[in-house]
Amino acid sequence: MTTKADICIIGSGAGGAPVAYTLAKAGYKVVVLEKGSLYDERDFKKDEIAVSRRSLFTPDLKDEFHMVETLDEEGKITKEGGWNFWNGSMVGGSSNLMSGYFHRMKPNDFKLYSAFGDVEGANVVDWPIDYETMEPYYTKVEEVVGVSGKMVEHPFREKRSTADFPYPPTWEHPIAKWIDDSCSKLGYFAMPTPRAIIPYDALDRRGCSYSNLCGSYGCATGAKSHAKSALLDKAVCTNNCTIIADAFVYKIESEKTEATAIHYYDKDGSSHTVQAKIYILAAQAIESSRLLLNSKNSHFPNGLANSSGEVGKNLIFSAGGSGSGRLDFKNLTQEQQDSLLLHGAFVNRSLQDWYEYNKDGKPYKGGTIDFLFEHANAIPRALDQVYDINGDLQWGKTLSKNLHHAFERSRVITFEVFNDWMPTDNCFVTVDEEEKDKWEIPVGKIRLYGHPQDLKVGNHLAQKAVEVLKGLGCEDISSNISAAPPPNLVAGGCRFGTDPKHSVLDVNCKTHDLKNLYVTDASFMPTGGSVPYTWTIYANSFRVADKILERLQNNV
Amino acid sequence: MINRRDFFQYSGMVGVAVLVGVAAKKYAQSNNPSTETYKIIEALIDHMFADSDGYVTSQLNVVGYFKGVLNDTRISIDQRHYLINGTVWLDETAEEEYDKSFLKLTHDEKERLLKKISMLRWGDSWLYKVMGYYFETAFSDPIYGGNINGVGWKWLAYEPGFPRPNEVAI
Ligand SMILES: Cc1cc2nc3c(=O)[nH]c(=O)nc-3n(C[C@H](O)[C@H](O)[C@H](O)COP(=O)(O)OP(=O)(O)OC[C@H]3O[C@@H](n4cnc5c(N)ncnc54)[C@H](O)[C@@H]3O)c2cc1C
Ligand code: SF4
Repeated sequence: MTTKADICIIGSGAGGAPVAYTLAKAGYKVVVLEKGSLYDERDFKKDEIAVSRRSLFTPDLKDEFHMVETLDEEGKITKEGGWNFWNGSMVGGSSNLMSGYFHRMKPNDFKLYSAFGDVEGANVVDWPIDYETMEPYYTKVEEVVGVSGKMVEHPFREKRSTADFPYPPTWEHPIAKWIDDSCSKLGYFAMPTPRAIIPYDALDRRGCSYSNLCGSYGCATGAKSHAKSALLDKAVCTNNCTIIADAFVYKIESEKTEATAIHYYDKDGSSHTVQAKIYILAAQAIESSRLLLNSKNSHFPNGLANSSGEVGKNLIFSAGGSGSGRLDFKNLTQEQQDSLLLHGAFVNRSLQDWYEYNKDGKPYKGGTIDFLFEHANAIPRALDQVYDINGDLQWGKTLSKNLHHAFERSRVITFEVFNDWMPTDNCFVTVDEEEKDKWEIPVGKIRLYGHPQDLKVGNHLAQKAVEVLKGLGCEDISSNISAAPPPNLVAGGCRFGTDPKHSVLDVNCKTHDLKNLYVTDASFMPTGGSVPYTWTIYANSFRVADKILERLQNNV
Repeated sequence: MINRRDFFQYSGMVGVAVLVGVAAKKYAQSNNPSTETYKIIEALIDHMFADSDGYVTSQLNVVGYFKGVLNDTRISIDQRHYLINGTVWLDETAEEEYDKSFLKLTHDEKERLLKKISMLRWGDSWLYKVMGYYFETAFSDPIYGGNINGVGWKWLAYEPGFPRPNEVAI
């Protein structure tokens, strides 16, 4: 059966939804194909077993997996199977499961090359657009998708077209004030972390209920500003948008200059076709490159829209890492202990004092530090206690004492560091012709490599965060900055740019090669900034949606 | 029995997925043919956790929950075999060291044996796995059949998130 539409979107997450929303509202017929299932707010329960221990929202790795290649010190490649780079296969994508720490990229993030120069062994380039171009769309995300926060003065505050956020911060835990005090003693500018969460009923959604388990879990109120509650539900209400769930797109067909059809398998393995005027690919960075490469044809023998050979190249992640410290009740007053035991409220504090810094006379692009409580999942918290400081397993009375201490007599505060992951020739996606998924389609093969500068900058930032934890009186402070990629914070693979020889997409995220195929997830990003990506993904997708709308309205 | 070394090579691949909408209390009601496996797991958990907060362990329905784990298709078959095989290896080691089954060991003998195997790679990894499933028993929502009346949550004054599940989702 062939379905016809004006626009066909592959992937229903943060990259696809703004296009669906904008064009359905403008009266165009939109079909969204999503490989995951459709859930609604009533399905989202705080079930640690199903969600966290059995990965309810990602595919069974027996059926669908990733291959990973790593390089050892001598440059030898090791390939391993069974890796999991899935983040959320469901209508609304992984945005359903995000924690919603939202930061805008800063003006210099759009021109990393001009501002900081070349980095040896890295493919740093400027973006073909600047912050001023993106700014109205960051604001649109605040207003339409919903971002809460409060602007304060700090050294790297970016320019805004509005004075403040449209929604005030979510309920803050008393520890936020302790962090403010610790930072001000150190001369640092703690700022409220913008969150993709609305604090009260608005935008036809309910406000946050502070449910204690937020990141990695679906939201039962709709307060989390994920693609489904914020955008797709509204697109569907126009009667112009149809979402087809459990639809795995396995091929995009094309002629020489235009895409002609999309083929997908339904739950039962039957194949279907969609034809549209314009096709949008937004399957998240790795899977979008994989689909292009798997859609090779006689016009594009190296992969669809890949005349540049750049599809899959310069894959990036959020570099950095995390750290933690424990606030032990023995050092605290009764009042402080009582307030620390309060659950549900957010820490909501960030530092961007070292977004740019100088070290040994050299300017560096730094990054962002977010503070938060240890995740409330009980099982990993308990498992964290089973090894003693020598790395030996413990049980019996000793373990029991430690568990009581961890859960009832202390609280762990953690930090996350976000800095640039240098794009390099050694970090990319291809497909593995020997390894197929349950549909017999070659799986994505990911080559991983972290540039030494990523670690250098990450460690610089982590040291600052550690000082804050010390100032708070934390014990057992540790930090872990590594080249291990966070699979949920992934971008690149289809760089945008002005030169068709060195980029896959043009300035408006249309493929250089095909006049009706766009890529609107994070694949377009040549560098990622020192912030988590999702605000920028949403903003850029709204920007591209406007360009497509203009084009449709002008019949181009 | 899978080869121990092979398991270690394979253990990095562990990933599990879930089927939606299976009847509640699936875990508590599942059957498994090997009663010996469960006796060893029960004795092991009793030893590792009863010392401290035994009243919790005895109220958790550990055996019922582990039966569910060993029947859960979202846990890879290798992982499930590994869990079972560990009980066999533990018992074999007890026979080698003390000439009797793990179930017949005194408290001190069990303690010495566990100390010994926890220093071995397989022992450390297997005991960690068992502890993980024990914590699942203690902290999962009671609809999974362990953590009866939230006794595990009360044990550590843990506040679960809400809304809580009203049916088993895997
Ligand atoms: C636990 C967690 C916490 C996070 N926290 C934050 C945070 O605090 N801040 C932040 O900025 N970001 C956060 N993120 C990241 C954020 O969710 C992603 O950046 C964002 O959702 C990416 O948007 P996307 O559209 O590229 O991908 P997604 O939102 O994942 O959407 C892609 C969709 O495409 C579907 N798909 C893939 N292949 C196909 C195919 N072949 N056919 C049909 N459909 C397909 C997928 O199933 C998926 O639904 C977090 C993510 C996770 C998982
Ligand atoms: S209600 Fe609030 S805390 Fe709970 S998942 Fe939604 S946004 Fe997160």
